[in-house]
Amino acid sequence: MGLLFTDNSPGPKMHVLLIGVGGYPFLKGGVSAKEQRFDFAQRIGQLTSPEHSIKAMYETVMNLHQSNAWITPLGSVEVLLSPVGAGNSRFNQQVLERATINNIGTAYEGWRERCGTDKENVALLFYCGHGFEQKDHYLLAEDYGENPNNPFLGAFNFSATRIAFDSCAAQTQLFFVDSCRSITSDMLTHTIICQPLEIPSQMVSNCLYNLTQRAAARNEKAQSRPNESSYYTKALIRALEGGLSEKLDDDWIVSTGSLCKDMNLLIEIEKPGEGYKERCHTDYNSSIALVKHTSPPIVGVSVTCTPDEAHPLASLKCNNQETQAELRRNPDPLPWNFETQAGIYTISAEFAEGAAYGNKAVPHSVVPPLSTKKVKCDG
Amino acid sequence: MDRGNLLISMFPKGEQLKQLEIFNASLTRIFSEWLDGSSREMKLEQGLYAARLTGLSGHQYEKAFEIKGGSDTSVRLGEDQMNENTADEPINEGFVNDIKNRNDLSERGINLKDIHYFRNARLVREGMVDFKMYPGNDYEVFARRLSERNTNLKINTTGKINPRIWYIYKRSIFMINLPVSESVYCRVQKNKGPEGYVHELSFDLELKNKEAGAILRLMMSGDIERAKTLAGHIGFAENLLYSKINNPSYAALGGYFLLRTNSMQQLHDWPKNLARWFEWLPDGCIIYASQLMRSEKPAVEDIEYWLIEAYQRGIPLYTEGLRLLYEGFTKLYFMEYRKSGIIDRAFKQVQEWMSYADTNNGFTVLRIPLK
Repeated sequence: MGLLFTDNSPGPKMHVLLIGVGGYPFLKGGVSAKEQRFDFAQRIGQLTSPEHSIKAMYETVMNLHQSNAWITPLGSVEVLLSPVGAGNSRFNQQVLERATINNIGTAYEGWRERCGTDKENVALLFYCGHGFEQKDHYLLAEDYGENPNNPFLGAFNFSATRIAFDSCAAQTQLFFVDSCRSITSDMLTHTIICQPLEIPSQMVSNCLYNLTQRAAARNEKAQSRPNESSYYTKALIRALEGGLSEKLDDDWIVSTGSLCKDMNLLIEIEKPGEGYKERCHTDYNSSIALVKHTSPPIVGVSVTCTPDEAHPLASLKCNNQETQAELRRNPDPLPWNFETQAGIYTISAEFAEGAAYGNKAVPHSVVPPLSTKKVKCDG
Repeated sequence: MDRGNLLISMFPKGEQLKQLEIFNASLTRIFSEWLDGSSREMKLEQGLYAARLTGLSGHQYEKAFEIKGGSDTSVRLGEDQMNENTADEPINEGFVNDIKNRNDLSERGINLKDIHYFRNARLVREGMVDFKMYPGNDYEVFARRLSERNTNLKINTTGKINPRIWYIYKRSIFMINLPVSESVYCRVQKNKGPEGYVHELSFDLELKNKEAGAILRLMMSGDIERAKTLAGHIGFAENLLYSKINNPSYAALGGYFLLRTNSMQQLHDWPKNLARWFEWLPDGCIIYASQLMRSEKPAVEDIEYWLIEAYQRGIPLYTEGLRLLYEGFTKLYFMEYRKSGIIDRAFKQVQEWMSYADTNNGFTVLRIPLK
């Protein structure tokens, strides 16, 4: 049982299911590797990042719970994780079940039932592991490739599963899929049959608040550094922690709308060059608040001076008149990159006597997701 | 506390709607309004503030400023932050005024060798596309090779049914659905991102009805809250009833917007009319089927009828429609007792359309690999 947290008190709750698959025993490099018949199964192997991504997501979910930041309180957290190699992972001294297709099916069934107890519930599923996309998007459980004649017996059709979940009573449904969506030439020459975890069975419409986000564009790979959380997971965590929040009244709110709108910007922060427009794909309808932070989020700031020649000569300063916080940097040819709380600051550039540039002080608003300022110092 | 005067000048100048927001030093929003002028005056207490301007293109411009008691502060917003990719201003170069006028094209330096005309989708010189995949009524289409530069097209779709652009680029052909009864500006740009992974080109349509275009952009970017405030400001839902007669394309957009915002009461019975009156437009059927799905007791037979009708009319004008059509057929396909030859065919076909779709675009854009 991978249920790591439950709160059965009455009222709407958020139910979380985290599935991470890094270890694929039957694929290349796996502990029980088999000779695979199809090219698409031969090409892929072990992933080191899902274990880190799932752990980081779990900690984020729990930290937000500890700080009462989830707008709908946490009701349950279930985790399935297949790390690379044999054995099971442990979170909080609890042994986690591995993410086999059977275990995923059972966990999904229980999670769906918990989600369906109240239409105000929030359903959150996060998957990290291998994926393929032919016409539909397929996610691979750890037993993918156990049967080399049909490796997709160890996978599920995410596209159809997502559509089937529309019939769940919970009206806020969040699906985050951190996997590749690539297609191989071998896949184009075969008809792949891959069943969903749930068969769409009712002609019902979308839930009121749908956010289904895929880390990669169609035909693209999701990326990570070895032995670290993936770029997408890091960006998602940064977003939930306030990196994509907006101030409403006195609080900083992360909503499904803000997660939809600017996730690529956060991926760009994690990995420059990866945050292009089509990077992260989101299906979304209406916006609802998910997380509430009472203090301003931390935002990355980059300050430069113009003209370019002025920049290496400038002593830079950043003041917040509300908090009296002050940051300084001595002259340096590189851009001044730092992180600070969101707010309105005065940014100053000061030059030594006799320099060709005049001192400048300009107000600048620092708001998520990132902030850049060019201080004009001519004359 | 002393107060000072603030004068905000907004660029580009003109009568286009823009949303102006003012935030105080703790970044709490203290002012928000959609404006159609180019300046706004107000009095504020002394202190630091930030102003944010959101244009109808969805682009945002921000500036922080300080108000000093008893004095005037002037803030110019948008002026030095505009860039060439901003679609707030009408595109004023590189038009193809009449796609059927070869002389006009020639005068504008467009090489006729690179232009291919299609009628009833029968001919493609540069490669073969299985046009059976794209059922629809008689429409006029054209294709043009992209030069190394970005390209702007102006297309008048008045009097046409299901107008589309076909655009050949490398080993792909792009199909861009256009609204009817419109003067459409289409900006063709190369997308950033790894080759082979992203759609190489983006097609940005600018509509004559700026508000409709803005709502579509905001919806697609995820900024549904801002779209709601704009829709409320311009009485969008009510205008739709009028535009249904004049322009069913806009009416369909309104339908998708009301579905997204779950404003079911405001839909009334016009999705049914839209589906029935405009027999060439798939989107009316999709909106009506979606409305039926949200009824107390959805009648599967009716939903199925209108989804099949939509499929037979062809590719939806809007990406939102294609997505809803795909979801609808996925549900029907897996309901074994509903399965029939046509549902099987339609599901596989719509799946194929989806696999080619640029889901970042509000209008349906397909990238079809040439065989």
